[in-house]
Amino acid sequence: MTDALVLAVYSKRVLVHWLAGWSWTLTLFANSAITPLIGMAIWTRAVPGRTDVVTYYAAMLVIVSATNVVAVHTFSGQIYTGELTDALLRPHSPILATLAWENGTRACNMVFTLPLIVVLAVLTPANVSVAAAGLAVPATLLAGSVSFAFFFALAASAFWTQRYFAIADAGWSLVFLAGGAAAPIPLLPAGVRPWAAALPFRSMRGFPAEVAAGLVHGRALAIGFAFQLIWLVVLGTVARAVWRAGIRRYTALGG
Amino acid sequence: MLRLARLLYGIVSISAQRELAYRTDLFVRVGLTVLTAGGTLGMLAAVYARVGTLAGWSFGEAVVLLGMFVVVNGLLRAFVEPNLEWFGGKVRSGALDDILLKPAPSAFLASFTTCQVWVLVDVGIGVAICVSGLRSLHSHVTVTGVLSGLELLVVGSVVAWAVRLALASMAFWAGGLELTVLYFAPWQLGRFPVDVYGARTRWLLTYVVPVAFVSTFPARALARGAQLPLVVGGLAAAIAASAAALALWSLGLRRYTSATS
Repeated sequence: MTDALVLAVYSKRVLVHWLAGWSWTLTLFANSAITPLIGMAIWTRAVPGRTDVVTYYAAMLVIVSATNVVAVHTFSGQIYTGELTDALLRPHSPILATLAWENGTRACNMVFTLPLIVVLAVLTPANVSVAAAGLAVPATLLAGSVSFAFFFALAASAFWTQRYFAIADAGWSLVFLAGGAAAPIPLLPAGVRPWAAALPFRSMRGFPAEVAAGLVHGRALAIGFAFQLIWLVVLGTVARAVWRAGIRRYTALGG
Repeated sequence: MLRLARLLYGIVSISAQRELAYRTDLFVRVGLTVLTAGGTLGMLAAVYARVGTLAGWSFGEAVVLLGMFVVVNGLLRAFVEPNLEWFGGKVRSGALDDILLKPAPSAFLASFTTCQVWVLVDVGIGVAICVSGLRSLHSHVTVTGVLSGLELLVVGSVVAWAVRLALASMAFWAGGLELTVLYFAPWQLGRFPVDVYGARTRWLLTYVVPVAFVSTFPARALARGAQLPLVVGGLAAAIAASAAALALWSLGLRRYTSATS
């Protein structure tokens, strides 16, 4: 309960911090929003008349905003500069500050995303049914958790190397390529589709967008949720193991 | 001009000496560029698995365009962006004074003071991507096309530099306003032909945020042959953009008073 209150206070502070520096926040938002917008332009040209593809990328815009991870900038930076020491001395888990940065950043992203979604709803044939939206919410929450576990594990590479930004960038490239941003998984060639569907990257981005666009139903829907839960457990375990191994190596910055 | 070329050579030389101490950064840079370009190539492969042409562009032409984008992006990230990104902070902190006190044109120094040498490997990777795309178009590639493509590549680099210098100059009027949002996000649209986008977006990407000059026009010339109006128009655009950016810089500099005590 105490941890939840601390997380809420930290998250609110982060949100205020982002809103105060809105030009930098807008830059971060635009950099993450441009990918689904490009995808929408490309694929509506490639497969004209498919309103579900337009809806898919409009939904992905919301999902990208709601699941974006900044741990490589916050947590890794804390390790590299020694600021993690301050978090370790506090009477709560040091992960709470990192989680707060995610919550605050995502909330701030939604401030910019919602007007853009209204514009897309007016200008494009994107259309989400109530049922699909209802199912997309838990899928998005799970996607945010899977994303955090994956990128937290990558960010923890700062315990061992100074190249943590490069490692995180490689992770983002994989999410773009195999997560449904470069191409909706259902539109990939048949031979590649099952592999792409099984990888964790679809659970982070593509699957919630497919749910919102009505591209998955019945058994495929259940399998998608199952993959999200499986990858959450696997990546969560890996992240925990990396954290434990890394924190033993960490030595405080003096002075 | 010769003096500026010698100065640029000196800057690159010193930057190279500094970066050679971190040779691992080269392998990191290569890996990252290959991954990023690979992501876009993967997207193109998925699209062209379904269609033969996209907005009139074949797969080979789209690959050439991507190569052109990687080349220009590499040049900008190596020479320009380390200096002009977050320029507002340099104005506020007084770091600009150091540039103004040196016996060289301030716009030149503000744009090219440091160089990230390892990022230049992107130019090589971009050329390799271009060549792989051109191999599928060999029957359409001509000498004049190659020459006009190279000319438009230079034009694209100059126009992109001019836009960045103009954006940085805004700091003289609104020091707290960071227009970095216009550095990265819109330029990613240049990874694909501007013909893919709607008419209004195409207009914006040609005349407002001139992404079309960065990749579409050079790739069109390289893959489809020289077009005199494009070559002449591109040259005019580069001259006009440079003149406008330098004029804006000079105007802004007249407003500047040192930030340091």
